[in-house]
Amino acid sequence: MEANDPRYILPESIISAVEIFSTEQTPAYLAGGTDLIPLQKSGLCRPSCLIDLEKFDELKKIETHEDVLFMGAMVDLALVAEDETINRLLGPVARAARNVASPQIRNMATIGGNLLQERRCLYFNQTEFWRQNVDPCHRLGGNCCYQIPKAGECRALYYSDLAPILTAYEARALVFDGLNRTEVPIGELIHGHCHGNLDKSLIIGIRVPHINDGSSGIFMKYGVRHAIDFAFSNVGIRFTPEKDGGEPASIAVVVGAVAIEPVRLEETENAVLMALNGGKVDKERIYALAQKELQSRSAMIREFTVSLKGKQNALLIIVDALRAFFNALGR
Amino acid sequence: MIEVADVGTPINTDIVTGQIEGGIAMGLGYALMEDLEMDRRVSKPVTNDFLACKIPSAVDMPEIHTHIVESFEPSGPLGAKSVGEMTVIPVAPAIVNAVVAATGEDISRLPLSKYFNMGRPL
Repeated sequence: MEANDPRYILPESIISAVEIFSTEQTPAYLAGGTDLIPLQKSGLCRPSCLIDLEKFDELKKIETHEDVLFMGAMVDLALVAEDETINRLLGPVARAARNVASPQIRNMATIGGNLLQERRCLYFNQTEFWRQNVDPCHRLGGNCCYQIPKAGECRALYYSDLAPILTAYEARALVFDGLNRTEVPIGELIHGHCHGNLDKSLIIGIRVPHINDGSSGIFMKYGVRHAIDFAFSNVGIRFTPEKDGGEPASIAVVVGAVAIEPVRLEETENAVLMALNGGKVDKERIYALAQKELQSRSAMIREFTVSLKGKQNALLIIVDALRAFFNALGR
Repeated sequence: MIEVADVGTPINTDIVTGQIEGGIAMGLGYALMEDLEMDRRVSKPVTNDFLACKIPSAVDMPEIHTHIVESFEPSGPLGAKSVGEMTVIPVAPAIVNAVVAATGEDISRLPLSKYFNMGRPL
């Protein structure tokens, strides 16, 4: 199956890239292309033009500014995985990048592309030939969902490996709308993307705090294979201890690949903080709470009846991740 | 994973070793993770590519030790037997036997990823 034949544009400036994007009918930014091109080849994406971001060096920088690390949206995942600064300051983020796909794909795939990857489902990520005699689902303009039959909307899952850990680290996306540059919390960006509400803004890069405040993190991904595998689930945890100025400790527990966007387990976070502050940590109770909360937040775990093992594995990974977190704290 | 193969008279031992290693990879996938799934909702196979039908990647492979047993097969070319297909056959039984011995489970279907929560954290 050949990709359709959109126009290819290599703009000279970020401003012109955004201008072209805003005037085209169905444009697409071309970064590494590791998500976009396969979607084109299977007829799931038919952009009128491809706007190549290759020339924008600003999008390829890795820099630290005081308490923030900036990674350009076009930085490839191989570099994120290997960069000494990122490994030193944001080890879990490097680990997440190291677990994406395969080395060949990581050499091309970018941070921005990983965050803005399309949601996936076994029932539409197939060839056009396969889809031609299957009633279209919500994603394809129909009115059914094969994954969760009672769902009134598309329940395709969002599989980004970087999203949970960047969300846990309260990263912010620096975006440019053609006039102004603004910062958007990464969770808000992903929410908009996963619900199809993202505007024409171009992501310049990701700013990640918590690099110098004693924060620690865990990233874990659970899959059948160790390469080129979408996860049963992936988990990002970030813990920031109480600061000298009295700012209380904080924690974020974010689970991906179990819903249409990453799921934050706020009840579990509160339980962990209370346990750590109280001195006695009842880990089994916290694990059970986390599994219960995850189940309540994930329609896939509750209602998808086809893959029992997938559901069970997703519930196991959150326990593994929390166990690793407590071990790392020495609790 | 240790595999010993009686191939008759090997002509090129490097190629024979490669065939054994490849057979182990195929048997490993067959035992652990490959599955051609038919979906009842759409009445079609849904594992139609190597992303969904999971064959082992290089990082999934265990340490491999191979040994070639030499003999002479009078009906074969220069005394050789075959090697490609036979090296796949014992791998899945060996893995399943090991799992049965470890768990006591009565396993009668493959792949094992459908029996156990076998993905381990990456």
